[in-house]
Amino acid sequence: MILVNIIGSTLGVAQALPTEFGTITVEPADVTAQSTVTITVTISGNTPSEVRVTVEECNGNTGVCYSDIQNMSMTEVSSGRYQTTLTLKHADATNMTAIVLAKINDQWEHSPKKIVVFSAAPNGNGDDNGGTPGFELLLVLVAVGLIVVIGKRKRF
Amino acid sequence: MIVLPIFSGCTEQSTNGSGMDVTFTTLNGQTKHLHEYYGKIIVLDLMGANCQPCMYQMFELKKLSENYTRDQLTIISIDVWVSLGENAILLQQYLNAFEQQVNVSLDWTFGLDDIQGTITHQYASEGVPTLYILDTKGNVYYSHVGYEAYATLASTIDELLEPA
Repeated sequence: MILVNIIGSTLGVAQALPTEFGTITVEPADVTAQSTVTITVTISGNTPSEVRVTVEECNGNTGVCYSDIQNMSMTEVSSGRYQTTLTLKHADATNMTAIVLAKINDQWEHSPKKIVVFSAAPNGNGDDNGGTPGFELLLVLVAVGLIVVIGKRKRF
Repeated sequence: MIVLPIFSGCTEQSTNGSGMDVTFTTLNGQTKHLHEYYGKIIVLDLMGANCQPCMYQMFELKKLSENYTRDQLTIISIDVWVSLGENAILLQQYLNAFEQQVNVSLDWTFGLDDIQGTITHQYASEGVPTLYILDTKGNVYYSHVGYEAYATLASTIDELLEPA
């Protein structure tokens, strides 16, 4: 059993190339709630059989992330460059997090998180009554310090 | 109007004595039911490992863990984003990251929802974190969607700890 595992892993290593995710870009540069955004990423190394992106929307004032995460397929628009367009759902969202998932050798690998803080206040009124002061700043600071490092994991 | 109270928190959601109950899997693979924890106040944190406000919520829960005894309350955090791809490995890495990167040991019970998202649909459909404080019989005394500061949680727990 152990021998089989060792052989299996050796073969796996021999076939595997490191997968590298380029920077995820989100356009337009000034993202607002419920806007339509285009997400682009480059992937080098192995050619994935499938690429998806999950987009989570959060409200930094109330400190909630909505459970209806969008999980979209990405299309290869040029060699190693994948793209999708989606419309954000929540009017009161103040930021979004995108994670790209690439299926390589039947394993899902994921990119680092891309956090985008929206450029306009929710509903355009700037009201954060009942919110947590400084939450957005805290969000960015702690996210930088506390990124969960995961090598490979299945998402589906 | 109907959903407003859950956002404002402090809602009474009595289940008429039957008590709130969910089934979850611990990190070591055991199946647990919430009713097994009745008898103490329960702080139930429905969270996601990839949810940033849930990270900040951990620091508030840690204060609860430090300032109340195990005889007074039980804290349970359940990852309810399993149907979105989160799993035990990720959750364990999440705990390790707290320990290794910010030297905070999240020393309470952690578990996971099932792949169908049963708990998510029933108790965290709006988003995460969703927090519940249950009395010793498992009745919902308080619920809140979104991050909640220690002071609010503590004052709610203190209300429950006051002798009748």
